[in-house]
Amino acid sequence: MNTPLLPIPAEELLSALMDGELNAAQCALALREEAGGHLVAGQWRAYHVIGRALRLNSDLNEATGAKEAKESRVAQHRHQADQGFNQDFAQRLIQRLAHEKIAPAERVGYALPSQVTAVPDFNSKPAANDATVRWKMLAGVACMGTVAALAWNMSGFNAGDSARQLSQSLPASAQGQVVVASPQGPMLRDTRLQELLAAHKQMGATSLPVPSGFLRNANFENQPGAQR
Amino acid sequence: MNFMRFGAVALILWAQAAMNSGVAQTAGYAGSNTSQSTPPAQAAAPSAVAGAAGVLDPKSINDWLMRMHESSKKRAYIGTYVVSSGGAMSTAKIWHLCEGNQQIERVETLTGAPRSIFRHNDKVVTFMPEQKVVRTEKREAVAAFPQLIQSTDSRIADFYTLKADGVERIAGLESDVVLLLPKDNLRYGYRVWTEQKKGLVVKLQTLDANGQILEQAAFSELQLDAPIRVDKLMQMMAKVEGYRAEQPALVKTTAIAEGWVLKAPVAGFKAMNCYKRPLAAGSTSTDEPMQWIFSDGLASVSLFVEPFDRQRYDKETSMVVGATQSISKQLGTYWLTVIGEVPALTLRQFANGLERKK
Repeated sequence: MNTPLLPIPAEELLSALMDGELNAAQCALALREEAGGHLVAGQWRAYHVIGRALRLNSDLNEATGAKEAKESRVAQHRHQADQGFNQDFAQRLIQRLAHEKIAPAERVGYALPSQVTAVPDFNSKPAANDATVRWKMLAGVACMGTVAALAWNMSGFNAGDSARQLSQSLPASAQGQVVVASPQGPMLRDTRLQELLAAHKQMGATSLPVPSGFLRNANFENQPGAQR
Repeated sequence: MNFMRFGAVALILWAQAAMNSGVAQTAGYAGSNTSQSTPPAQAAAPSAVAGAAGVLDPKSINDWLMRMHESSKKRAYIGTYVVSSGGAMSTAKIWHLCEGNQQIERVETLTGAPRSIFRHNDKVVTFMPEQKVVRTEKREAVAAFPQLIQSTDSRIADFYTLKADGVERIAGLESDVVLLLPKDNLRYGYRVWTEQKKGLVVKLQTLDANGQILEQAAFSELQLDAPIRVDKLMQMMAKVEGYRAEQPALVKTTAIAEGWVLKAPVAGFKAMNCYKRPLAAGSTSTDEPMQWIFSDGLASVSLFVEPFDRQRYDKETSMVVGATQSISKQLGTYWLTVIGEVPALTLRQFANGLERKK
């Protein structure tokens, strides 16, 4: 198990298998590789148990049909997600887990490559956690945190260290400027202006004897959308 | 399970980014102290600047610039140079050699479109392998350097204060740090790192009025006294087979001859050169654009004047990339573009001061 055939950790492989994301060959390899792993087998069962519990929870929500109840639950979920943990949900999950029966076919399907055809059955249903906002919210919050932290890293607030500064000389704001954002940084739309910039960099007079004139020139020429 | 995996990955990314942010902030505070307090390890008097820390004799600015310029010309080195401007970063490898009066330099861009740029004294040859084009140009500003700082009309010391700012290690070399602080709000400041033995510039920052870095360039690695052969570089520079040659025909002129004057001079800036540039491809105009170049010794401003074309231009615009700003506006039947490594206020003074006399 420590040396999987596929360059994917066993747990991720299992998760992908649950979601029907592996092709037949990958399934075969994965199942052959992981067949004897008790830990993975346990994980496989746990995924199914969680999946069933979540589906039941989802079905219950749909069965009530009460819009107000749903909205209330969503609002409650949001609040609880903010706090980091939903105790009510955990309790209900534990109760369901206690009554959950594990289907033998799932264990067999995991063990034998020849029965990989069982995988599309899982895929035919929506993902177990599709109907609940919990994971979406967690992912959303994590993404927002990631974006905020990366934006902070890239912002001009962290001036100081020379190596870091090299990549963060951000432009000052200017009204009516024609610099637009791009993955390569601010970019000039006006190709004529780029030509003039290059001409300025080439002919500009400065006493600072660094070869940056050439590089600046190249830099402007290398901006996306630049034309000679 | 999709969201479970997605969420886990996002959480890991967030944690890593948050850690980097913390580290960066700590380093930022330490670095920003450079100009305010010199750490004990940096207490040694900078060797390149006569005297010690603090404001220096105005006369020493020219001496310091001359020494820096001579060193940059005469040292043989190979280095990797990084320029950060306007949020974009460019890297290039540089070979530089000086033999007698012959200076030769080779720059290979490592980011963006491939470029091989050779400079032999004031001649610059740029190879663009993707287009199979080689462009040959003359760069008079390089040759004009001594006159630039010796000019009595534009004394750098009148507009900048030179201040020693400690010692730092750059690209493995102990370097003196010097601040060139502007005395008015018409220009930016500079922080310059020069290696101690000969005074080669190894790092340069352009700073705004608040001390924020607008642009910077530095060697990330540098090999001094590198074994480079002039003949080999010259051979490479002359190897143009398979390339289409371009030679933009710049015509030297004067602003007066072109019918333009600057009715109110901008403090510290002196007119250096004026050229008529070749028309852009596809241009229907018969009037060649003019480039009028000004300098205060450190910062440079270009005034480009070309016939107004309603299809191309519509309204006044301004642009900022790193330390470089530009403004464009209509001036009667002409279109003016002012570009320079100066604050917008300076550009506006130039733009408002230009007048047609013909």
